[in-house]
Amino acid sequence: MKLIQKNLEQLRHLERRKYHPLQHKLHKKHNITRKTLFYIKEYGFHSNVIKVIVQESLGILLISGLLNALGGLAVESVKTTLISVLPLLIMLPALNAMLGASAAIVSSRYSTLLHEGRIHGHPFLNRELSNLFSQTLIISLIMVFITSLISVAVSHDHTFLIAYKILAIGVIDVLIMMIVIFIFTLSAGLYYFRKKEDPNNFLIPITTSIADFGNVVILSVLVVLFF
Amino acid sequence: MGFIDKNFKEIFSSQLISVIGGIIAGSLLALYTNKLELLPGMLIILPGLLDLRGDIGGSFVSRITSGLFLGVIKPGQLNTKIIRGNIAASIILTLFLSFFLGVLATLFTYILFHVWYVSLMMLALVAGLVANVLEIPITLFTTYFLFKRGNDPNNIMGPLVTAVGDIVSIIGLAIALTFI
Repeated sequence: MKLIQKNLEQLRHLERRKYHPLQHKLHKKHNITRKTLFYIKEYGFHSNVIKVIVQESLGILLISGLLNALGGLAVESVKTTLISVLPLLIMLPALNAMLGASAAIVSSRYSTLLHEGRIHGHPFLNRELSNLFSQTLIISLIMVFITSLISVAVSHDHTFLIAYKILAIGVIDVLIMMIVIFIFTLSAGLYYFRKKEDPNNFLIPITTSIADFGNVVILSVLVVLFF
Repeated sequence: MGFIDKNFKEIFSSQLISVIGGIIAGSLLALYTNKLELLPGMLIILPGLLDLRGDIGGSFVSRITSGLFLGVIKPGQLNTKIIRGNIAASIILTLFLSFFLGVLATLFTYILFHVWYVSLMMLALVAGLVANVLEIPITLFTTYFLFKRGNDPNNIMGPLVTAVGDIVSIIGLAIALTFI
């Protein structure tokens, strides 16, 4: 135990950007995952924590910000309807959060399955993935029902027609977005994995941004169609 | 393996937390419809601001949790290089990206409505900063608390960060609207 601690301390003192044989030695000898060793070296004594985090996150966050601003443009275009039909405004952040969470769940589960070598043949035909798809879809539809119900109740906009339209918009939005999220995640994940890169690092930020952007755009189109 | 298995239950509870947070955020937003109606470009900022909190907060919690499991971060310790660095990086990213969102919203508003509404930049910046100041202590202490209790913060904090992020973003926006 003392030897491992001593070796890990040595690792923390290494230059961040240089690969050191100690990493390989520790991985083989003590069966410590490469990711753990990477973390210890990444935030070791020679690294500037702020610089590392800002540098590695900024690019993807800027793309995400741009996508969201474009999505915001779609929301702004239906502002009058959103403000006059309050359940829509109440439902918007809930749908965004739910679809974002779905994208994150699907991405992380798929990355794990790829790493574990449990995807044989085409991912669209995999039993575990189709089970995950049905589970997330059913849960999302239940959540849409709960969200619509609460949104209508909270806003005191109790007419049957409004409630029906809100539910229909939510269901159509979720159905389209879940299919988009799955197709995109499965294709992009496989692409990164075949390039010998960790899909974890790319899939979650990209899929959540696409889920957020797609949700507000589809929601805006549906609002125009229904109201 | 049945359809309603452990995975189903876990996904269901995490989605429920996200949806509740979203509904609270949406209801708070509904209180400010008069301001939304008056200010052009406000809704351009909104999706970005909500997403920003989840993105920055989510990565923040994930890094802290990894550090806790690896023993690089001790639960309860605040004044360490990694914690200070993480908090500072999260504030820098928030300031930069909120300002970026504000600039985009100002440009889009000008292109669409021919209104040069520069206050949108200030609004996004203040809202992002207030949301960050509220979110960091909540997420940090909850992560420490869960870890000390023997829970894996990775399983609980993801949806919680999204939910808390949505609520604090709207509170931040409301505070910014009051002062600007």
